[in-house]
Amino acid sequence: MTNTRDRDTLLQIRDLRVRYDQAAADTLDRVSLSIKRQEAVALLGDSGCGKTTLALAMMRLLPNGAMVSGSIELRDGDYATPIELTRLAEDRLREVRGKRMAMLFQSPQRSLNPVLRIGSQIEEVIRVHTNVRRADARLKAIQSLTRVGITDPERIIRAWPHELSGGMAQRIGLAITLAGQPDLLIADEPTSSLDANAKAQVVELLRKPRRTMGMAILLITHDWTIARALADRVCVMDGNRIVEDRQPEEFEAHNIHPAARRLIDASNRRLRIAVTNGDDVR
Amino acid sequence: MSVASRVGEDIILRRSTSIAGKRSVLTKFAWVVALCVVFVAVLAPLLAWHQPIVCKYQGTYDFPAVVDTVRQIPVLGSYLEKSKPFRFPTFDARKTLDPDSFAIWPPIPFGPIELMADANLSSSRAHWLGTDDRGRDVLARLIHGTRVSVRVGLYSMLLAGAIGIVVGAVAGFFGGMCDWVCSRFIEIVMCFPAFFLILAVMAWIGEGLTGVILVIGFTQWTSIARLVRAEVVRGREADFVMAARSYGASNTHILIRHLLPGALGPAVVAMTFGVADAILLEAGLSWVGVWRSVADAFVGLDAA
Repeated sequence: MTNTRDRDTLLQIRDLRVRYDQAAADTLDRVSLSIKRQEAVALLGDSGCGKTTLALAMMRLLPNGAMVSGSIELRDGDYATPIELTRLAEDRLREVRGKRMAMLFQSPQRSLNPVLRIGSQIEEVIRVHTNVRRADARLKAIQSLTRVGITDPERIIRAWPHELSGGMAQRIGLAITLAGQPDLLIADEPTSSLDANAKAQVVELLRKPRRTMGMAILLITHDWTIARALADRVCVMDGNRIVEDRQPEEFEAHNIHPAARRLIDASNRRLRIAVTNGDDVR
Repeated sequence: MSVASRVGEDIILRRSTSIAGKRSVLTKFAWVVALCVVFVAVLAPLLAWHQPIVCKYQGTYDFPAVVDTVRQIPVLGSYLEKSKPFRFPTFDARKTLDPDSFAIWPPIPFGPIELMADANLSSSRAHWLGTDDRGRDVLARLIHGTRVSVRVGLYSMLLAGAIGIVVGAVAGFFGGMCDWVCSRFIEIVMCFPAFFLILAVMAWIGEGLTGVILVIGFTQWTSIARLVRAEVVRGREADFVMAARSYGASNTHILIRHLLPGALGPAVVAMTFGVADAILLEAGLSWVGVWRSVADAFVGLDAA
């Protein structure tokens, strides 16, 4: 029993502690979390509770001054021994980033280079991952744009980042992260800068690669409705540690942690505000 | 109300297009001026030379000015170096030697170091800008001087740009101790006055265009390096750099593909100002008499 579970586990974080340079307290305090293959886990928490720090620690993108202890193990079906990410050398890390784990950032427009056209940015990612010629990379870029639901990829490929809407930019961010066909996608607040309609589309786009590519997702959000819509499991962070780890349905019934209650109430309340505003206009 | 806003939109639209139009006219004008200067520099012997463009002498046709133009182009010219150039005899001599000869001369039929009978002439139909104190045609010297100026300006700034961009990018990207060392190095180099350094180098390796170009290139890269460093430092913390790192891009890749394109704009602007500064510096040196720019440019070519 434990053996099969072990083989299912994709990523195992144990007692992870992160303290930024000259900070008084830990930003992450003994965080443990495991993600199975093809599982969608939502990490729910207020801003400043350490969600993004956890994501950056997993990708080893923390600033130089940060002190990290604990372990992050990435398991591969073929590898006998898991890869320990906290002590991995920089050149081997580049093989993990993008190919095994990829990250989708919070502000889609700012994570695109403003001085390069969309096409060349996607081609560049494809050329980092696979050894293809420029013309083939362009073809693959067009395919990857179609896959994230862009109807006129030939036009978008020639566009500059500032010409895109937020939702469009986030789709391109998704196309870039999916280019390496990662086992785990870390999505850091992928919807927080988008309107309701674009939000729903991005959630739908996150569901699709899970089915087709067997990808696991770690969704970082403060929005209960998004977590509920996408996740198999919801972890709640509060005060720099994980306080709840359950399936989303259990949050209705159980006596849950006050932080989780507060987040769920907050998103319900926002819903109510939206409805009353609608009434006023009418 | 809707009409008013419509009108407002129209005005804004028209204004913005007219600014864009004006800018493109200015750009075109700048290109024309720059190309004219380069045109004069490259084709100087076709504009002012002591040999004809086309001539027929003793039954054979020849193109001495064209040959000399090609000879002065760096790589191409070396193929023609071996053959001794044809020299058209002076006007009086050729009439007696070959009455059938004819020649098409450049608009200014004098070379830059050719001595005329009269010194200090004011402008006339023969000498458009007169002659100088040794009896050389001023306009011919001006045209051939352009060639020296353009060469000094372009080559020295290409050198300065290459050094400045590399040092600035390395300093800005790797930061820390590397940045400190590079920045102090930049400040030390900034303290060298190029003018006096050139005097020292001239005394050491002798007069020559190469020395001037090298010294200007090796001293004037500091402002380019500082601009590139500032841009790279600003870009290094940008979200798109972290995004590039997250999909597995290497440091070199991030620096070359993501940070340098943004940093090149200011660097190129600094380089264009640098071209003007280098030309001024060279002209100053020439005026002081440290080196004879126009005459030296023809050493070897016009020994005849």
